[in-house]
Amino acid sequence: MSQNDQGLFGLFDHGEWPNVLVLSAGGYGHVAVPLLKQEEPVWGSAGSRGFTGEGFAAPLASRPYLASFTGTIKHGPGHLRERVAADLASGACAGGGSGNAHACRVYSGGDWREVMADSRVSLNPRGFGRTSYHLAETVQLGLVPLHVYADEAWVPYPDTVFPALGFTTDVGGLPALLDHLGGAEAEAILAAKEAAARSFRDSHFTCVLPPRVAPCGSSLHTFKNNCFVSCSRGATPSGLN
Amino acid sequence: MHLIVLVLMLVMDRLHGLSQDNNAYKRETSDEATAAFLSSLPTAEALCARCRAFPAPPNISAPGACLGLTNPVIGQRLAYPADAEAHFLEVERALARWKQKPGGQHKPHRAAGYAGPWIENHWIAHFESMLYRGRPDHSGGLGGGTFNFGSSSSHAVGGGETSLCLRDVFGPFVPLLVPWVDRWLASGVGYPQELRSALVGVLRKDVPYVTVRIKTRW
Repeated sequence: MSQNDQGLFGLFDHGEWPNVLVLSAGGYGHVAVPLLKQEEPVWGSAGSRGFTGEGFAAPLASRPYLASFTGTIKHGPGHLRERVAADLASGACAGGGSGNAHACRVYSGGDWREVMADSRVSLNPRGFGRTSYHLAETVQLGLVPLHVYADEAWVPYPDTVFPALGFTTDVGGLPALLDHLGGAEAEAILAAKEAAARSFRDSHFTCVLPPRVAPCGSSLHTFKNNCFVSCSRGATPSGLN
Repeated sequence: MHLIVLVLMLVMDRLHGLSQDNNAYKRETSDEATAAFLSSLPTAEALCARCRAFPAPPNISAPGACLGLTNPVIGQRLAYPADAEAHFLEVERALARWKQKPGGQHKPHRAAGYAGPWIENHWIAHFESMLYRGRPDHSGGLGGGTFNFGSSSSHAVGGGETSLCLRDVFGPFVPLLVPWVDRWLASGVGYPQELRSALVGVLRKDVPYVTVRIKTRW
């Protein structure tokens, strides 16, 4: 039994049924959609564990970690997460040859949100599937995800929204990316991505969407940035990013 | 070899905390629940009556271009069915036993400490409500931690509420509204053979379908 034996669904041979468009949160399909479970409040907002009344997460420059991975190391194929953890524990966070030295952290425990909020970027290595619950959790917290993939990235809105708020790399590219992010010039980029994460959180990374309306028959009324958009006759587009 | 892999999958699923309420599954897929669901579906005449004013079928080029990335010839084959609403209802009837039933009958699976609703459940509740009531179902089971599609997923057409045509909600696609992973898990980590047969028996090879799934492997 394998994905090839079972086909796209495990229901039929997808080669025989290429007319079924699959929006997949798990990693096998045509269009990536967010893998969501419980909803996390934006870190620092009212109701979140990080609420201080002083805004969102602490300023980037004051955070002790350049990058962290919070989660289970054993998930995922090919020891991918172990390799990510090894990178964080060794050379990748020592700045390589550029002198951009920063601390990184691998953590598993109840204070995972605090560790993430203390980090400039949160690593999201793939799990059993091509993505992980943690990616949406990161965006919901208003933080910057760094998706680490094995064969191909599986992030929602890969050509539009996701590049505005996060990063993707394979394991081999992780050390160089971390080194780049440790540079002083990256701080403005990270700040912009955090703002984008907060901006797109409600509309693109939670299940409960506000009604979106577009004229019937327009190119907007089925998909926009991989999101379904409903339509109503005579309505004018609104709420579309 | 298959047995070994299946055992491995079961172990990994348990490690991942996957579980499903089998009693709820049996109730929801019973003959009685299926019959009640079927009786709640509108007739094709009722669903089509308000959809006859469209001067032309939806633009099929977008799904053709997308699906053509994995199968170059499919774009030439696709066509929006002239009987779209009737075919959609045909699919709904064929898959009725495994549909996500209203009235709090559906119990999503549990995984990673979370008991749903998942994006499949939200997608179904949201867009079924759009189709039948003209507005999305925002509850999606989130209200107060209770998963209850209840009357918000009623299939009643009309009754003072605004309903939409299939193309208004799903564009050039015919939707497959089944909670795939809940069914896969409840059946012992595998789809029921009857579901496979029903699906293959009702799908057409020239119609663009769309569905949402969260399954992470296989």
